[in-house]
Amino acid sequence: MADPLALHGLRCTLPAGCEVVATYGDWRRGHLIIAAGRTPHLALTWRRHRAAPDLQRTLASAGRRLTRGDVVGEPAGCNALGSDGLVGRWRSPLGDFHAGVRTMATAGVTVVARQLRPGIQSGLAAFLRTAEAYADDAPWPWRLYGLEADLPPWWRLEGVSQLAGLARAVWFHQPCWTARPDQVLVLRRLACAGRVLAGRSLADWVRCGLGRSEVVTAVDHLADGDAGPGLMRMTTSMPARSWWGRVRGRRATRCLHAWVDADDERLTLQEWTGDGEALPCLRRTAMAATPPLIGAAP
Amino acid sequence: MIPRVPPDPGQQIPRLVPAVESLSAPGGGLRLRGPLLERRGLHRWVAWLFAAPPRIEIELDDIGAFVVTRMDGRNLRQLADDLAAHLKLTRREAEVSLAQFLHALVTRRLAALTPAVESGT
Repeated sequence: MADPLALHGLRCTLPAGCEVVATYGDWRRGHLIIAAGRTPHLALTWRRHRAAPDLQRTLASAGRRLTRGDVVGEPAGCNALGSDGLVGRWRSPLGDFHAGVRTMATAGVTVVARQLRPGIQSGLAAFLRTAEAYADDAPWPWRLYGLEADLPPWWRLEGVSQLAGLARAVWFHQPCWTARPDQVLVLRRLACAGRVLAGRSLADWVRCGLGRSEVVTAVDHLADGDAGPGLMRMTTSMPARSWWGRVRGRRATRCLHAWVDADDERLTLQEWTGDGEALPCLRRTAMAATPPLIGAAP
Repeated sequence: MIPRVPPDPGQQIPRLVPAVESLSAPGGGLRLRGPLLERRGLHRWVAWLFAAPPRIEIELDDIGAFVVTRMDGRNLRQLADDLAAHLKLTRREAEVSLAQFLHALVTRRLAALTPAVESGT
């Protein structure tokens, strides 16, 4: 089954049996590696720009990267990929390698996909056709390492890590990227939810991770019928992070959501802190749209 | 140029060292008791001085016991599949966890990896 991939304002569908094994760069430019098991399959590069790129030069540059290393390939022609892309073929002793470029002018994004092992052109072309891009000021979906979120505009991924049993991503809200971020979002997804909770409720588990000077100001619970612990929302208050804020008696607010996906036995914790209105629960189910119960006293 | 294909590490078969004893522990765990360590000369005197234990003995939780009880000829790939199905992990998570666990057993000389060819599979 093909899995969706969405990051840095790009969205595409991974080839069947493949997964992302490494990501580099940021929303302006970067690349990622897609592998099937232990075999590297594709490399996808993206870049945001204002000027329209020269597709032929971009494809030739991608082809030079193909031939760098152990394999020496000769270019064997290229075909158009719709009205906004090209796919090229390079012959080598190991087989035919392909690379493709596609530009999405409305979003100002160009993506380049390179095969890392010999393959067929139609597979690469089909992969590039699934690619979509979003403008800088549009809401962006995120689907990466099991983390799923649909974020409002100007949330930029600062870092993501995937360990065995834990996927964690940090976003900064930065409307003007020359200014400091004013909000932070952290999503953690843990495996073996039952073992992590060890019989505790979601609220008790989250309380164990709070800071010493952090005070719980509100707790909401939404039951999930027979599926076990549903959604938990907790709001906390703590001294301001800067010494000047603490001198003035300011306090920072942190909003935490926690839920368990019973099918995958995954525990997800969403943390938000910063100025302005807190992000709602990012859980992508009907429960997230349910009005919360009246906040119970902590 | 014909590329040389490296052997698939997933075909290796982990086994407990023959001298290791398996004892059940409370809570569904397992206790592995290794053989007496052979120490000679200065090493023996230092071990006596610091009251070092005569053998390596570890206690595994239910997940470790799940893996060790399935080290009955299954190769690493099959063990990873079983672990992923048991704990609802992805394939990659199961492989990494299994590799770290088996590395810990091998460094303590409680387990060994045998190639699939030598095991007749």
